[in-house]
Formats: sequence, C-alpha cells, structure tokens
Amino acid sequence: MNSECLGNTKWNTANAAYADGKYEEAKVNYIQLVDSREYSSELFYNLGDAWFKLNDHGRAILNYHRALILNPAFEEAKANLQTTLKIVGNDDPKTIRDSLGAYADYFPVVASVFFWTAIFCIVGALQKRFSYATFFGFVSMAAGILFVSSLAVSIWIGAGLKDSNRALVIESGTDLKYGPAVTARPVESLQIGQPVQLISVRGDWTFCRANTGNLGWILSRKVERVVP
Amino acid sequence: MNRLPALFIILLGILGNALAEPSISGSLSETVTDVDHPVKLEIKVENARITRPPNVSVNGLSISFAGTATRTQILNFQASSVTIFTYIITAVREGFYEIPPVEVSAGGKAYRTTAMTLKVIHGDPARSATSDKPYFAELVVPKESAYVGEQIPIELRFYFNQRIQYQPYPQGQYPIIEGEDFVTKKYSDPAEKELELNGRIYRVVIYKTALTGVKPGKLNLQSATQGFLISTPFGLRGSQGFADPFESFQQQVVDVKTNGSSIQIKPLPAADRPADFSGAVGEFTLTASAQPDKVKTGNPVSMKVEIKGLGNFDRIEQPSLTNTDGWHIYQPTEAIETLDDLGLSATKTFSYPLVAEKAVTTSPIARFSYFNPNSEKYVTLNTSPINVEVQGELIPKVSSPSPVAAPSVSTQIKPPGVPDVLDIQVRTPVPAAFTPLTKQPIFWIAQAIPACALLAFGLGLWLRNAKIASQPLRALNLESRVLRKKIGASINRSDVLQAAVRLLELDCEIRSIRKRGTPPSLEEWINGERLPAEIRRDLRDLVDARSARIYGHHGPESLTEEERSRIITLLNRWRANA
Repeated sequence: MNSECLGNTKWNTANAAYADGKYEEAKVNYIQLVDSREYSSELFYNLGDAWFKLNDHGRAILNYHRALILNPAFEEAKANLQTTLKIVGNDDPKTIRDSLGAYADYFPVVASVFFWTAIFCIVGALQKRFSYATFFGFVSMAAGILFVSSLAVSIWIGAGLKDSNRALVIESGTDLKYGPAVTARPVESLQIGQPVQLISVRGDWTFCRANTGNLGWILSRKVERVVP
Repeated sequence: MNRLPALFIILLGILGNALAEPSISGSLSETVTDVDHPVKLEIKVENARITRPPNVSVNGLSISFAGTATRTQILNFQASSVTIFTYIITAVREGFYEIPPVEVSAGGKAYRTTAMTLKVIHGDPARSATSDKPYFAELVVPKESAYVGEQIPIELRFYFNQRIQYQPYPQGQYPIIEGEDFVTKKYSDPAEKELELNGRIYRVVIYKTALTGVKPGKLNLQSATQGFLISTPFGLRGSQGFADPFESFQQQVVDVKTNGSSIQIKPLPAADRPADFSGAVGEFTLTASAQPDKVKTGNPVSMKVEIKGLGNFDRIEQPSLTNTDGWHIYQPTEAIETLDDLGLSATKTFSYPLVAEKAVTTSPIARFSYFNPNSEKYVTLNTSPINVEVQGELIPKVSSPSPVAAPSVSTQIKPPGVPDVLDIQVRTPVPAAFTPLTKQPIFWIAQAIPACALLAFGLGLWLRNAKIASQPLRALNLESRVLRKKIGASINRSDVLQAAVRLLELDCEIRSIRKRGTPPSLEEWINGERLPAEIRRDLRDLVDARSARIYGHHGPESLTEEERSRIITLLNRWRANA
C-alpha cells in the first residue's frame, strides 16, 4: 500500500515536472519508477517523451518500444515511435518476425485452446455411443492442424519482442565490427533503433547479430536491452 | 451490351491519361563503359503522347536512335501510358561525358530529364593484367570528385571464368568496402551477366550501391572484398574449349578483392548557403497541390508538397512554409517512393494538414533548398501559391491535438519544421510485466483447468464402466443375502433346501466372475476330488434331498431346527474348503 502511494506520488511528480518543462527532473523520476520495477506502458511512454525532449532519440525509441511491448495497441506510442524513427532516419521496414513478435503472447494461448479442443474432441470421437462422434472427429482434426500451426509460429517467434537478449541501438555512428576493438574493420553501420540480438559480452564489447543477419562486435554502451 | 464496360474503361483511361501529370526520366544501362563498348540510353515519357524521339547529342559520343516502345496500363481505374525511346551510345575516346537534360514538350509545357554522366575508360590494358586469372574483381567509381553528402553510385564487379561455379559465401553476405569517412547505401540485389573481355567470356556478378563522403578531403577506397565459394575444375588453364562432363572440381572459399580507388570530397560552399538548407545534395524539382480548393474556416485542407529527383533523399527534411498568415499548420506526414534499385532517384511527399483560421484565397508557399553538384550552386525552389477559397468568419486559434487537457510545454503549437511527439499520459498506469506468458504461472494454472476436466471425465468414464461391469456380481450377492435369510428364517423344508442348493450354485457363479475364468460347477465340486469326501457326501445328500422334496414330494414338509443347523454347518464347511 505504502509503495503504491509512493509510486503514485512519484508518477504525479514526474508528470508535473514534465508539464513544467523540467524534462531532466521528469526523466529522473520516471527512471526511479522503472528501477522500482513498477512497469507500465504509460511509464515507458512518458519516459520516451522525456528522452525525446532531452534530444536523446535513441533512448526515446527504446522506451516507446517498451511501451508497445506492454501494450501493442498503444496508438500514441506508435505515433511517437514513428515520428522519432523518421527524425533519426531509420526507415527499415519491419520484418514479419518482428511484426508477429509483438503478439508473441497470443500464440501460446491460441495453441493451448486448439490443443485442448483437439483433445476433448478426440475423447468425444472415441465414445461410440455419442451421436456426434464423426463431427467430433473432424473438429479434432481441424483443431489439431491449427494447434500445430500456432505452436510452430510460437516456437519460431519465441519470446518475440519480450526476448531478454533483444536490444536496440541507441546511439548514432554505431558500427558492427569484425572484432572487439575500435580499430577493427566494420561489418556494417547500424542505425539508431535497429534491433540486434545479444550473444555474449567481452569487456566493453558485445557480440551480437544484427537484424540483417550479420554477426559482429558492438560497443556495449551503444545498445540497450529492450526488456529492462 | 457487353462492349459497354470495355468502352467505359477505355474512356476512363483516356480521361485519366488526360488528367495525369506527364513526367520524363532517363537512364543509362551502365554508367561506366569501355571505348567502343555500346551503352543503352532509355528516355521514359509517362502520360504524354510523344511520337517523335527527342533529340540527344553529346560531343564525343556517337548516339543512334534504336527504337520506340509504348505501353498503356489501367490500374485501379487510373490509366497511364509509358513511351520509351531507346538510343545506343558508343564512345570513341575515354573521358567523362555529361548527357544534358533531354527535353520534350507536352500540352504546351516543357519537361526535362535530369542530366546523366557516362565514364568511358580505356578498358583493355587495365583488364588484360587480370584476365589470365580465373577470377578477379573491379571497383568502378564513375567520379573523381564529389561534394560532401553527394551520393556517388559505384559498382563492384566480380569476374569469373565461365568454367568456375561460384556463389557468395556466406550466403547473403554483401561486399565489404574498406576505407573511412564514407557511408554506403544498402546494396541492391546483385545482377549477373556474361561479358567478353580480351576474347574470353566471363560471368560477372555486379553489386551496385552508392557511397557518400562525410567529410572533405581525399576519400581512399582501399578495396572491396567479397567471399565466394568456388568450384574450380582441375586443370583449368583458361582454355575456352568444351567442358569435360567427367572432370572433377575442387571447392574452396576465396576472398575476391577489387582494386582501390580514390575520390576527392569537396566541402559544400559556405557562401550563399540558404538558411533553410538541410543538407540535400542532388537535383530536385518541387511541386505542390491542395485539396479541397474550397472550404469554410475551421475545416482542414491537405497540402501535398512533392520533391522529386536524384540525390540524398535521407537528408531531405520537410520544406518550410511561408505565406502562412491565416493558416494553422500541423506536422506533415512523409512518404517516399523510390524510382530505382538504390533509392537514388525518388519522390518524397510531405502531406501538411492545414486549417484555415480566417478567409484567405491562397495556400501557403513551400520552400526547399538544395545544393546542385553539377552547377555547383545552391538552389532554392518555391512553389507557386495555390488558389484555395476559404470562406467564413475568423475563428479562435486552433489548439494542438493532445490527449491531455492539462496545459504543458509540449501542448504549445510548435512551429512547422520542428517535429514533436504527442504529450505524456497522466492516467493511472496499469501494471504490466515483460515476462513472456509461457513463463508466467497463470498460463500453466490455466492449462491445469482443462487437464483436470479431462482427468475428471476419464475417471467418471472408468467408474461408470466399473459399475456396469460389477452389476451381475452385485445381483448375485444380493440374491445370496436373501437366500441366507430364508435359510435362517423359513420353516418350509422345500424352500430351505431349494435356497441352500441355489446358494451353493450362486457361490460357484460368483467365483467364476471373480476369477474371470471357468471354475468348476457345483456338480463338478461334488463329483471331483477337490473337497474332502465327507463334505462331498453331505453336499450330494443335500442336492438329493432337495430333488426328492421338489420333484418327488418325499420327506416332511416342515424343517426341523436340527436339519437347519446341519444345512448351515454344511454351507459354512463348503465355504471354508471350496
């Protein structure tokens, strides 16, 4: 109860600071709420706005992404993300995997619904004295196919955008390099907001895979995990 | 009757053709060529009836007209026609050639292509050094100097002897250009073709991209490298004979490196730089339109500003608007349509939502500045004011659309040109988690519900079946209990004897059900050796007494207590021994 009150107070303080144009103060308050793990789509959206006002477009994009992961139907977050991506010149189209990844939680639900439907219909079909045994047989087959399909999609997209190893590039001039050194040859240049998959960390460098499929090393401070 | 729809479509097409804005563009099949190596030039005219090929002439180039192709299509009831004039260009000397804008006239207006450049090199000596190799590569840069921000199309050509099988390795990997202080665009899909070089035929993989120098100075491109998995036939000596179908191949991964090159990157001149210059370098045109052209104050008008041409579209920002008195301008949306593989030639459209606050007669004027590297000058384009008739009374200032009513800094109207984001949310946040659903206990608890239901259903079925299976046994047990009571209570001798024998038979039946087999019948028990002789004799006497009493009516009718006791004892002994 106490922490809830404190959270509300901090939330209101942060919003008031933002409204007064004290973006730095608002940002600090929002970050404290994030640190206390009081996650919500509104919190990340507002934090994104604060970073935007402080001209840190990379972190603004990251937080709009977080808001959309928690609420894929958050229209304001979509609009602000679009605006910020345009400002940084990131015009990379979304991949099918990324688009489906936003709904990664839905596929296990769909798969489980079809799984249990198939099981119950199989049981029904095996009861010879049921007058609808044939009907149950067909339904179980259809549900079985849909279950396998949704399970396959679910396995393919994994945790989707909630993947704990997914990160976004938050600084400009970020190169994916062949080795963990500033002097190493670049594999490709990454744009702000471009997703990467983190694989391992060595010192200040992180080995990762870009969404183009290229593997390479990147300065750890230039990327941040999407899942805080 | 059936011809009516076709006639309608044709009419629609003619009407659409008449309404669509004509456009013209030109393209070269190659921007770099060898002396005496022909290059194809295509002039594409859209939405205009041009029958005579436009005149194209350049000093030092032999240009001959090769033919015309016309195509008409109707898409979404929008008709468009395209006429393509093809020319063959051959150069006799090496050097840089600029093909000036080609002009056509349609509807009393003149339309021009953008200028094109062709680099002609003396290919043979350069290539002869490498032509003995089974594979080699070439970096083709068409310019020796460019401005900061100017996009330079380049080609990376990888030549392979036609007997070599090859594929990029790893698959999907694109060439890496070594050097600093430049950025490149994404590669277009590689093209493959056959080329004859020094009398030998090579298969060539061509990667196209465009690079942009980011700072002034000499830009050194050391080389470009691409890995290939190649299969080389043993004994390849560069012969051009027929391939041996039985020859064996050696597979290996090789890094194929191109030559280097350098470009002088010049700084953009500081003199005469327009205040609204955003870094756009290239050649562009600016047009604007507004819809509807007649509104009342307070109603929206959509103004579209279109920038078309060749250049670095990623640096083109929204044009600034002037003559905005009486208009409230909202943030525009952007759309870009690329017209070639690399996105060098494109159309960028900015759609401004406008709201008239008072009666005005013209729309705002869009202004866009860029640097033209060919004329080496800054150019500022302005659209003509568009006639928009706004009627009505003066309305108060329109507030910025914001989901939050509370006043804040960001709710103030931003001047056009400064992108802004929607305001913060003030509603109470709804807690949420980043944990994937499959890792949340609730998901598995939910799975337990149908699992339990299934288990309960199965258990119910099992109990039901067990109940059905045990029904005969229970009936026999019930009858046994009734018979026992009768044996203990009845004084009728016939009933007791009958009940005692029936009880023995039931006992045998119950045993057979319980043991799921065929245990001996009462008769077999009596005649067999399983029971002691004394019990068998007493059982025989009991059965005989029952038969004598029931069928022969022998013996007394009433039962003595002594006889009852004897029968009960016999039944107990039977139970104990059977």
